[in-house]
Amino acid sequence: MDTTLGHNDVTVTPQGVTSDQQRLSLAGLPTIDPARLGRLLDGSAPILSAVSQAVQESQFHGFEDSFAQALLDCAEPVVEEPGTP
Amino acid sequence: MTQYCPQGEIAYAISQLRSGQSSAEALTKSALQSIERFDRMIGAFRAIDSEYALQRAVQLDEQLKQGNAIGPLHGIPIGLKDMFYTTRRIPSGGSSFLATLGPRPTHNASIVSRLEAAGAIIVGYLNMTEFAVGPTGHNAHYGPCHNPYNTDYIAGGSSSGSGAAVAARMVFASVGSDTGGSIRIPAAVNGVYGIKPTFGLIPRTGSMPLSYSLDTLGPLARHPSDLATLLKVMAGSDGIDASVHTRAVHLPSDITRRDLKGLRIGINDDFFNAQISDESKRTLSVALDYLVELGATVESVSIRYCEEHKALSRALFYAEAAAIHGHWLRERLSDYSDQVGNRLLTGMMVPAMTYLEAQLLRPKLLRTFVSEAFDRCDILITPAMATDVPTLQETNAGGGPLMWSVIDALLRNAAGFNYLGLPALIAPIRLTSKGLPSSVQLIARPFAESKTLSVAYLLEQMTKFSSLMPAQLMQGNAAPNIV
Repeated sequence: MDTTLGHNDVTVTPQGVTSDQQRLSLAGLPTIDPARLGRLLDGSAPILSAVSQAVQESQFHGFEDSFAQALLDCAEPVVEEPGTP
Repeated sequence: MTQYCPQGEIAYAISQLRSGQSSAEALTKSALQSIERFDRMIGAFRAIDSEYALQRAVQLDEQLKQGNAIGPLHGIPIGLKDMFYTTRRIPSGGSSFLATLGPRPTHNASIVSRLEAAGAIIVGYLNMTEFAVGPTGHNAHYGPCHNPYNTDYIAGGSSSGSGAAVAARMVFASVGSDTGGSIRIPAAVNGVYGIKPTFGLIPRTGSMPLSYSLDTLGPLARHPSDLATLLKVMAGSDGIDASVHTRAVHLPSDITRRDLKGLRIGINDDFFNAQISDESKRTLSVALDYLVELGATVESVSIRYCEEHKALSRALFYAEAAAIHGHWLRERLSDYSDQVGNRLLTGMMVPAMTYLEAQLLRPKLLRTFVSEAFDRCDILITPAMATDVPTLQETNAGGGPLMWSVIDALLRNAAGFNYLGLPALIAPIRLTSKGLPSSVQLIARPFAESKTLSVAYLLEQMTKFSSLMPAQLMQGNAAPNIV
């Protein structure tokens, strides 16, 4: 993937585009910079320690984090909203 | 003065029905008249089901006369984005061929059944971007949907008709889907309220998929109270869609509050308020002034990894969309428009490792975001979009080299919240110097939709935006004020 492509490098025609690089650029995928993502995952970039730890833990079963559980954990307790009397 | 319909809040219309001052038939006829009058300019509808709608209205009026219990949407005309299973027709999904694939559904999508059980009358099926891919409302097969405030401008996407039909008073409310901003962008550019709920609040059974991990369904309406009514009807497990939580979610019928005393509003200047247009800055400033006047306090919050949220959402979106469309992309690519076909093909080049890394990071990044944002505030507020509403021309294929930067600016503040699964509500605040709506986005913790609705309710009390009429359509009525 050529990550140097930017959004402004492609002129879109009604006939569309054909090359893989153009398709990537059209989709905005260059912003998924693999190098940066790699640094995020190996901890060499400034990254939240929780994610580094998650990568380490994910090498072992039983430490997988669930997005559904994370949503529930991050929710507030169910409480009555104050309404107008 | 011509009484355009539907007007006012849903609760008011229901009270008129109960008191005998109106009827479901009269509301439906009025909605159909509005569609007939305005939709030639707007292009919000793909199909209108007037015969069915009127039959159903008569039945609902009869039920009311017989003293039967009525639902919270009894006799209320609404529209559906054209991507839901209904026994009435095969949806087009905005595509050239989906509707040609038979047979006709034998059952309704879960949310369609719930809305009809609550008394809603589906008057038609709304225009959308092809297969819900794209934030502008262009459709190479059926033509674009136009903004009711100025038909040279976009109606947003992918739920383009869902936003425009509500703004143009063709229906009280509509239903859309949001995978990266597809409810919120149409809500923002058409000046209506729209909410992307928490991932896992509303079942997607019977809706057209685009991304298993990111797709959400939600309502658009002219008043926050109406959003709350539809959300309450649509929410909760259907026992089929496994992504929906069985947790009891508090969605109050009454979202009214007197003030916002004690509420902490968070702003983020590092990402969401950076690189935004002057009009968006002005809109945020006006909204903050209202919120402070209502008693809230404003606090700056620093949040990391917002750029990554957006990028990782794309990794999930493109890979999953390509998986869903893979068979058709291989077998009938020429049936897709160039733009949508090319974007979907991109997903075939997302490495499996990147996709899985995006999934791996998702819960951790959610926990981090919630901790950094919502330990310090109750509601995060951002401009709805980084850009002003663009024209149809500058966002169309061949619109020039800046086209994709404009599109990226439309999505910038929206897509990350699909990755994080958080509820995000659009509230229109003012009209720009060009007379187009400008809106803010309210974000809360998972399942805290009621908080965003209450804040939106009070903002509506300040802006009175729901009473504004798109001047281009409603000539002869009072022109909207420019703040």
